[in-house]
Amino acid sequence: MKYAFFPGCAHDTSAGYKESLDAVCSKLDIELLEIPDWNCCGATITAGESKTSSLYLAARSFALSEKMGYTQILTGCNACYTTLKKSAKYLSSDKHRLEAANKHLASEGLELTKEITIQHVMDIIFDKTPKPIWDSYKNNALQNINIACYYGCQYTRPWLTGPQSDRPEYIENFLTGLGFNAVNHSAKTLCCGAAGAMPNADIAKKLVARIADGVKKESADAIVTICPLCQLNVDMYQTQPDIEQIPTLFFTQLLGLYFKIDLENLGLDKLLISPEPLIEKMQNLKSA
Amino acid sequence: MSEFSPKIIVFVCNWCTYTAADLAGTSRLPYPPEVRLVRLMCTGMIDTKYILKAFLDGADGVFVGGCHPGDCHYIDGNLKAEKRITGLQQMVKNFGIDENRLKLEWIGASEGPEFQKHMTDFVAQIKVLGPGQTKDRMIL
Amino acid sequence: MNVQNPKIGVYICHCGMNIYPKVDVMKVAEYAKTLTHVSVASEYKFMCSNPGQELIIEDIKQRGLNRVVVASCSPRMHEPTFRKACETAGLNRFYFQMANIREHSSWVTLDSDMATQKAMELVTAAVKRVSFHAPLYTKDVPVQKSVLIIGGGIAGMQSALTAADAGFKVHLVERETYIGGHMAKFDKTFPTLDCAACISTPKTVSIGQHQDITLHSYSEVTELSGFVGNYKAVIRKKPRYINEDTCTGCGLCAEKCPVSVPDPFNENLGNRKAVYRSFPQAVPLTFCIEKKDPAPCRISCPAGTNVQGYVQMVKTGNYQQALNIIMERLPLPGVLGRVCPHPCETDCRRSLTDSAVSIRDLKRFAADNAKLEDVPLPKVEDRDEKIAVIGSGPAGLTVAYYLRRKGFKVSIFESMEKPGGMLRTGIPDYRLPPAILDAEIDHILSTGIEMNTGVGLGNGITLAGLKEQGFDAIFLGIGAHVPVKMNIENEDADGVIDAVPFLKEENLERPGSAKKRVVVVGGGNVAMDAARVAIRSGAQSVSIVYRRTRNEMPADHEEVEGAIEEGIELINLVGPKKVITQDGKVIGLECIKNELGPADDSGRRRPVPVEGSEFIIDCDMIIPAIGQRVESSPVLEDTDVDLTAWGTFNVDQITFQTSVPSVFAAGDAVTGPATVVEAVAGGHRVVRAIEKYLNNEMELLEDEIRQENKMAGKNDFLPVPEDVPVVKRAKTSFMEPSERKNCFDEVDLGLDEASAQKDAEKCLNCGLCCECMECVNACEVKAVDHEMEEEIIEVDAGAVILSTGFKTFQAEKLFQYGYGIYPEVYTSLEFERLNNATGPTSGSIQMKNGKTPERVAIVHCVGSRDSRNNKYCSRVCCMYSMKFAHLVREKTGAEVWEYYIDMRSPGKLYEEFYDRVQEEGVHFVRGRVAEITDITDHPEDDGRLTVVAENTLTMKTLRTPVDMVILSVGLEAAEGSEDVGRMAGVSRDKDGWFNELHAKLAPVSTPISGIFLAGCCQGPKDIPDTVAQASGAAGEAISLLSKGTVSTKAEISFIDPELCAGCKTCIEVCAYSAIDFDGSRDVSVVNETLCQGCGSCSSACPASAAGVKQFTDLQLMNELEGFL
Repeated sequence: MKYAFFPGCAHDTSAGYKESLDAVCSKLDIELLEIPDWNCCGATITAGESKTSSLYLAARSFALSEKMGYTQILTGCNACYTTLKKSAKYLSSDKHRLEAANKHLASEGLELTKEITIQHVMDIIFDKTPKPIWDSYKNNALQNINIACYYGCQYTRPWLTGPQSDRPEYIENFLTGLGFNAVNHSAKTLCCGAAGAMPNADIAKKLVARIADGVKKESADAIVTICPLCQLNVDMYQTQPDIEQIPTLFFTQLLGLYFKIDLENLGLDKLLISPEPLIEKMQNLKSA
Repeated sequence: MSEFSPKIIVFVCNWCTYTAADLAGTSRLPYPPEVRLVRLMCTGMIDTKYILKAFLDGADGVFVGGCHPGDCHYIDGNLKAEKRITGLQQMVKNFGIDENRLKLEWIGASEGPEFQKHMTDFVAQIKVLGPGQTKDRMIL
Repeated sequence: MNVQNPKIGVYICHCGMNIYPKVDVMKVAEYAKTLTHVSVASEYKFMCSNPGQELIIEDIKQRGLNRVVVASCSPRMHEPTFRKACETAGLNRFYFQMANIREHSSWVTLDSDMATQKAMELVTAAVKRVSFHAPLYTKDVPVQKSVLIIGGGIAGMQSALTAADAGFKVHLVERETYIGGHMAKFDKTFPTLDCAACISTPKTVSIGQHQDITLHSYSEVTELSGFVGNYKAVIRKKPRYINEDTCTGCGLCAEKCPVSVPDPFNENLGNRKAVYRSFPQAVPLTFCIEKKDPAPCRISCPAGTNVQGYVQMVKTGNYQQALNIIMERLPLPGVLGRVCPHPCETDCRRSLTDSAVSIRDLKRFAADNAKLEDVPLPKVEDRDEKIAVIGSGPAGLTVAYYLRRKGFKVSIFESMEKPGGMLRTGIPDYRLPPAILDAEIDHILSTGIEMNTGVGLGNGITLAGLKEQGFDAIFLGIGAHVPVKMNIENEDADGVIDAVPFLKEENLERPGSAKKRVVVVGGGNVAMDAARVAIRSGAQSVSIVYRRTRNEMPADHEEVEGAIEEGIELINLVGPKKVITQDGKVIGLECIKNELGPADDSGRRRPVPVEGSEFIIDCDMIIPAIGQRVESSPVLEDTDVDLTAWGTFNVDQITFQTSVPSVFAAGDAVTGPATVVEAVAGGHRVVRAIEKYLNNEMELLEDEIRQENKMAGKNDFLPVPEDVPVVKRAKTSFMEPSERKNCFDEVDLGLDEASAQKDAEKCLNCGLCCECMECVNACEVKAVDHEMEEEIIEVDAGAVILSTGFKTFQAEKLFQYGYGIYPEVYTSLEFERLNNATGPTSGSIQMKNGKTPERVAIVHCVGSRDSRNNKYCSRVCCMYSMKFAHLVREKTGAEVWEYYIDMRSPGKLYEEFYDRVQEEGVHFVRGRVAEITDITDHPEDDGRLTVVAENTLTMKTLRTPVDMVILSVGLEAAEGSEDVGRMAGVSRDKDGWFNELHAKLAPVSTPISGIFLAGCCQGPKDIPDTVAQASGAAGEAISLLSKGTVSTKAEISFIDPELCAGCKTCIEVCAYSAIDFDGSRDVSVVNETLCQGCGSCSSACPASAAGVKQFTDLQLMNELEGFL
């Protein structure tokens, strides 16, 4: 299966997201076609004053995608996911906004005519992959691996489609399906502080401490994230003193381990909190 | 010439849809003025000849509103009406009447807003269909 | 007065500013004047006012009007008013028509001209219609001077007392076992803080004692028919299994009851017994036993043993009662406790959470630890009929024992020297010690059964002979003892001995006949027994040859395991081909390898021999164990009994009779080789059949059994609780293989008391009541009756009051508040119980860990004033929340934080209460709580909950650590109110509350005359409002009924006999069977008291003979013409 892919600004520089995503996708015959000349999703300006300009930014990437023949766009970043989804909603529901955006796009010969749908790359990997592929790697001993799923604050916003809850179980259900033990905790959708990480580090630290604290309660072997910003923050701030240290991976890196993909192809070495304990534990599983 | 203002006859049962209409009134929910309500005890009371009469005398649309299935004050009068109306919708075609001019809906006593919506939509629909020709034909 | 030429008066109402100026009423009036037959048309500010009505009355009198049209509000509002006015003026009330120009024009039309135009058309239609009105007359019919009240909460009770004190008979129907509703769960009531019990118990008590109130508790109204003044209700009274008249409420039964389940009355915070009374002061005081379907273990037991019952008795250490329960269905408890293949354990629902209860071992434990001689026998009245039981195996013993208990004279004939059949000869002693068997058989015989050993068919007795000796019925339980042959070469060589005779010999004489190298052929329990006995009687090596794989082996798992432990070798996928002999003696068995082919009818895959894979197993002894058949020849000697193709006795599946009516059969002799418990099961069927046979009631049997089959399998069991701890299945200890293989001592040493009770604890009580009968034994007044059935009661009532109350909002829906996730988050009802003297903590406000909270948060508007759930305000939450705050402060001194959106304290002394609570130091935060989480900001708060909310007054976000959270959940229409509404024909609003007739002027009446509303079923309200409304509803009912008559509807159907063609279509369509056929005139006739005037007949009548008065074709056609 081929999909148009919107990496977003944090994708390539993230700690192994790109590598692991590519590795997993090739394993699952998913081909991600990067939208040529894509630009910032607009998240940062949405937060700021100008909503409309953020809309144009999104519209441009949409138009480019439409040009390459795709109306469904995947992204791996929660910020991109929400911003693009929001923009797609506005553009499809309000023809004036669409016209305005197209005026700008016209200057470089682009036009957005179709309705664009946004999906998190996770949804595709989880839903579109035939069960047998997973099951062929299934191992009951995995139930000794305790995973804390962390969704971040954006993925489950009420106005978005998808699991609308402070206690979503989407990733949990999937991982338990693979045989992992997904622990239940209260920090699933807390803010990681990414938005304010630079200006007010102390707040960000407090927020991360809260997440680590919530996860610690459940003696998790690892935190699994679905967003480069979440990962960065949660990973980074755990290195600070007096915060619980729990390896914080991308879901794709965990799946990589599940598929027994060579470690060097998963970029695990880029993680700040070493995943070694987890890797060891997973390698020493005696298959039951 | 001003916009075509259709004549709409609405047969309603006393217990659900008439009450809904009253509720729409008390909650001041406006809907097109073309609507004319005929109050009956139950939609099961509606004789096909009333509906035909309405069309022949020049109604552009006929709407029947009754209780939701299971809520009928007379057990199942609304279901009897449903059978009759659906049959009639087939029949009127043969008289050259577009079956979309005859509509049946369940509107419960507490559904004032729904009544408003149905009336608005139906009138709009009839406006699209344009004036019914029945009366003129009868004159010919 | 001449109604031929109508003189119509038209009156247009301004309704203050409601119709006018939107509708230009003057213009409408002017226009009305121009209409045919209209002689007067005028407008007035308020037509409904006295002067307005006077206007009409005057005109009728002065100008001789004979028709009246009023254009004003909805006829649902003022039609009665104006009809009355016409009547006062001497005009028949039905010469009146109303045009609704307010609800249907002025209020819903934006443009004023349009509104006026519409008003004119409405008036035209009304005028045209009214010209064709005819006078109608109603007649008075007597009413039932009784009131039916549905729902026994405070509202229902208040209405009941009011109506009853006025001298009316009252039927009060309550679906719970007690009256008092939610109020019975409260501890204090706001704002006065008087104790809820203290103010409601006087009412409940006087309800119980009032001579004019019939209380139908634990009952539901299932049908409501009839009409105002004459309603008929069908009440379904659920069985309490305890007699209301005799029960003294002493509670001994509950003390003895072993089953304890979560108590809904305590919001599942505490437990109650299967026999319970929700609270001590409950009215009626009668206890109640709750039953579900019989537990799966009981259903899957072929003999129908009450497994749950005896498991509970083992749990409570009452081993004798456990044994008694077993003996009701199993005459050989110790035997089955050892050898039963326990299908019950396969169906045990505990295996859903961890592992099945070790039911068989518990049975054995009970048998080993209680006295057979203490098992009570039913009082038997001896009967004269004699029954001969041939064969003393499990089937025979069952038949003998239970027929004897019914008083029959029973004689057993056993061909062997010792009784027991296969139990003795087939089952090796290391599995079933003879002592156990002897003891249990002796007990059976001790009930007065004659045992003749060494006598059997073919040696000593014949069927004919027995008949001559005067036996009224004969039972054939001769089992299946004849070995099936392998049909291979040299099968009868020296050294080949079949399992059955081999086991018999070893069991009875124990000659140690096994040779050195033994091969057993077969995969069933018999094969395992033979192999393990061979080892014990001196064989050096024993192998088992089986043609399929181990998975297909019919033998019990533990038997196969045991065999392997004792060093026996399994050779699977191998079939015997030929016995190799040397001068007549066995020296080996030639076998051929198999592979598994497609499945056969038994569902197991069929073994297919592999060509050329033959090989030889050296051995000097071969024991085939591949099946047995029945030895039927001696039976057939003098009696002609049908056999099946397999040579078993052919019996009727219901009556178990053979082709000879007086001869019955069961056990292996009918089923072929099967288990002990199946034989017992067959025995029971025969006992029942023989009894019926001797009572000449054979035909009843079939119906009975069909009934039972119908009853079974609804699978309504006690739900498995979520928090079941994982408990390891109790394992019995075994003798060491090394020592046990050299002796015949019992291998399985059974359970010790501790682990037996621990395992019995695991039982989930699927059937709820376990029918252990401890309550029956405990009850001194013999009020318990487990046979009780539901009652159907029919009552008449002139009026009906609905007071079905409310349920509380499901807090789980607001996941962000963590209800059901964090143990210290409570709903308001849970807190009421927690705080209640009769509650789980006897009224001490404490956390699940027993500690007293130091800070408590109370969250308002949970599920109320919330667009995602209920938009409406539940009206009581603010006040009860403050009540909670006060109680927490008073009882614990804890800090209390109340999170509210707006404080709603309207009502006498309510605001004052608000002040008082503020003065008591309760913190009030204006803001809806965002979330409640176990993630804390400071390590010292670990284990507490954090309440996150924005204080919208200070614009600050608060994160407050607390120990306990109370969610003030809103009110919703009660479970099942939809059905009640449909039954009574009362519609519900979008939130599910019953619709009153008029929001302001008729708050307790409904559109259905004679049906009234009381309490929360009409909308959330507090106790004072509820009580007031309840009295009001009762008042309405009284005023309706005290006159003694109601007038019938005038707007009903009529059928013109001139036009009626007698096609009876109307009779078909009438939902009220209100149309009869008059054969003499061949026409249909309307029954005026039954007709409801729905008009189904009029629209269905092909001859237009049927019509509805006041809705005639003529009237409607003219109304239409008015519009068009």
